[in-house]
Amino acid sequence: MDPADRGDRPDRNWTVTVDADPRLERVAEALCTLADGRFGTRGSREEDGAGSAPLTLAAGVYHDPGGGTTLLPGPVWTGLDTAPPLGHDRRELDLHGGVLRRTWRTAGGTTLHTLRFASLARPGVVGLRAEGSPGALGAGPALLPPGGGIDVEQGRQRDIAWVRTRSAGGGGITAAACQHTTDGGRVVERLAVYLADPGQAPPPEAATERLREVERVGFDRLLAEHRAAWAARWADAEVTIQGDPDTELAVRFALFHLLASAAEEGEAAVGARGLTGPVYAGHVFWDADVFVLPVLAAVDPAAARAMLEYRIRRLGPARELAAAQGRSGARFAWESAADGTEVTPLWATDRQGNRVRIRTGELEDHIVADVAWAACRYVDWTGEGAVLDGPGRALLLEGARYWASRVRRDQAGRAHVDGVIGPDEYHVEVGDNAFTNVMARWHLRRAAELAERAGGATAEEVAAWRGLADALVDGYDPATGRYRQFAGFDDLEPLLIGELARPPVAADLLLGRDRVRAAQVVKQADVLMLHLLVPEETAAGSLAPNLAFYGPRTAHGSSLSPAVHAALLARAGDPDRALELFRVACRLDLDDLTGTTAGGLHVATMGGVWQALTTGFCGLRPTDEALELDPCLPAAWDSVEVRLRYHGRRLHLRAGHDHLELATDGPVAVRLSGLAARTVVPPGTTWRRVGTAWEGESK
Amino acid sequence: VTTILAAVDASAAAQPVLDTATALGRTLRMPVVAIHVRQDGTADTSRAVEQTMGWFAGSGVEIVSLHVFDTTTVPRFWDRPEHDHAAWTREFLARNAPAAGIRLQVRSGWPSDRVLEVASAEGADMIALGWGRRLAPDRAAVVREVLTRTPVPLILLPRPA
Repeated sequence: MDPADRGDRPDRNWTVTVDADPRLERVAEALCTLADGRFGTRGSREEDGAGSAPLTLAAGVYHDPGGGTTLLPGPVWTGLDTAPPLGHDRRELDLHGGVLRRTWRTAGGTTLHTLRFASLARPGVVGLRAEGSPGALGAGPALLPPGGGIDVEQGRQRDIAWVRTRSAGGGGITAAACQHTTDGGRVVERLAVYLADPGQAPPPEAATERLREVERVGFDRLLAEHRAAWAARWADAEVTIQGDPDTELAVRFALFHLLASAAEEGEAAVGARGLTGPVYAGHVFWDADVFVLPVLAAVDPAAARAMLEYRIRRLGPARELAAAQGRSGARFAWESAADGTEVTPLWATDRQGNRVRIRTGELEDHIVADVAWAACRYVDWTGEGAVLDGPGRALLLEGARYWASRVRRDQAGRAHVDGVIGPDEYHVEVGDNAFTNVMARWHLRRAAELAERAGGATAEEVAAWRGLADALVDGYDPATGRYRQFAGFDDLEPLLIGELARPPVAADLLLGRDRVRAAQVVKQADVLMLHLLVPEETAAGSLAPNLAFYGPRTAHGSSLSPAVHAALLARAGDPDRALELFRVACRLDLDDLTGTTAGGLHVATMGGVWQALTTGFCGLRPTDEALELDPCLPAAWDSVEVRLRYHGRRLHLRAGHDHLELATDGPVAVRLSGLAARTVVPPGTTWRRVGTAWEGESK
Repeated sequence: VTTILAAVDASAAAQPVLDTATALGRTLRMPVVAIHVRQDGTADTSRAVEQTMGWFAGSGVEIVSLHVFDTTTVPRFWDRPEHDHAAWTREFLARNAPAAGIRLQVRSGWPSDRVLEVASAEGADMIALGWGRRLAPDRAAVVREVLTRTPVPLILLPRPA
């Protein structure tokens, strides 16, 4: 038993082990981040070692140091005055308990152990326990200011140390900590409390007062509470893959960080790297809406609701952005931070060292429909239609007004969207991008339905939206079953990426921006994304021909792409090829496939992993009337078990190749291929596959 | 072919490099040290390489390291250049050229062309290239080309054959 733990050893199937490698130290820190939805602390070594970048961040607390808005670093609570490792140095991240352990041996032969947690039960409360020997282990300061020229104040109130970091805008992060050394100097126990406010730096007194409260609870009870909170979280989210333990662990790793990425109340600004690192500056992209929110809607609805709230509260700036562009309604920023204004950088460096203009902020209009889609997907999973009838209604209606003002009608009455960037960002300022147009069409139709039910738009507006939706060109060719990615795509240089390099590959770096722009090489799923998000808006039977055409043309240069293709390959009946790409997505951060995991984890890819598993392999699709089920597993898997929530019910799905079992805590409407919608009554229902259909029986 | 790298496998080879840098340090500007790191993160590099670059940097020489993308070295993923370029560069240097003050340039294309191009653009007084110590006809194409065309002195840093 690990002396610092004083609890049961974790299950190997729930533990990510990271042995120290000096070159990959910052990757280890990111992988071992502990977060509670509000604060995230990287899994940095306790001693001050070369290459280490300890960091604590607070969700939604940004500052502007002059080079663009970024997340404000908070005080550091993980430092100890200890001897560095010589040889053995291992971190173990216990996913089920939310605990990070480290064991290392010093030059003097002493073995040191630490354990830390970021309380899921009490967000903002963190704990660290270290055990070693008096000569090798010293407490050192309980809190340290972050580096980087951040505005810092610090002080003490008797035995409590406090540190406060401030943003230029007045917000800040305040931490208070206390620690005790016992057992003759062998054990150091530290507790800290974090408070944060994007508008006003919290007073130290508030942090110290809260710290005294948690100090009375005690380290061991706080740890037990925390473990219980994680156990409860996993009860609604656990995934088991029989026959593939490595992939199972990787999926659990993804879920662990997803579950820690968003708070369950207020608003949640989930940046591209969550709370696991400084890269992407905490900026919020479509990644959050399309890849992360649907996962949380199914496994932690309160957190998904908080993500939705982030968008709802930024409708004002979205309206201003639309107005500034001469449009109606609301147009969300492509990258946003605290106030919802556009914070996309305008310049980048290309592969030849040239400065190039970045136009995603200006042209990636599909963000408008992405936000609306996420809101609807939230309702599909939770059944909480009141959100769209009430505070979320404007997300759909104002977005529809934007599209109505954005679309151009030609003389024949057809509607076009000119000058956009789709998910395939290799091609800039294109017309009639299929993804953008079809998502806009879906958005206009859903907004019309909502307005007819819940009001908020005139009858003339609703009629106009429906008319526009019907008039929008989508590039579909019934003869081939294929959607044209954008006007002119078929005239570009035909190029199969596999003839140049083995994907995934960053084709823009390999070939240059001009070459990829002039060729049929696609960064990530674009047309195909439609078959994942809005299959009801695509032509029946069009998935296979579009996979056949766009698959070989896709470089997967976006970290989002492999998971999407995995989901669609599974839906197309090719689960074994799907598994190959699924494993790439699963290992993206664990193997640092991007070379940038050091700066934080790719939380949207993690969301894609869960969606590929559930939507792709399990065939789960939530709708208003029923949860659709249609498993299609790779040969390497014996079965998959998924826990999630649908319309307020807790579901435990177990899918094998020819067997399907669903346990719920109440009646749930489901639909399987070959069966009409039906109600399932607990304790469970089983089905067996007969040909391509399922035959079921209730227990 | 892009294997150009700073690699020194023995102190006997490293010492002359250090002596050169020290002796000429105040007059040298921006030698180009090319680094070759594969997609899986492995590199034909060693602790000795890092030390060599550290010595150069410590002697007051400004160093520009160069990484040339080809099918074996180009990153697999590049989500957004406006964010990833800086993040990837920072981490690449931290892993492969951690001495303070070393700048990284990245290029795509034929390595010898890019080495000479960057050396010219940076006003380099010297170029440093790794060399596998084999001069068979099918080997060392980049070294041969740079040696033939370079207008500034070239240091070859021997690496394990």
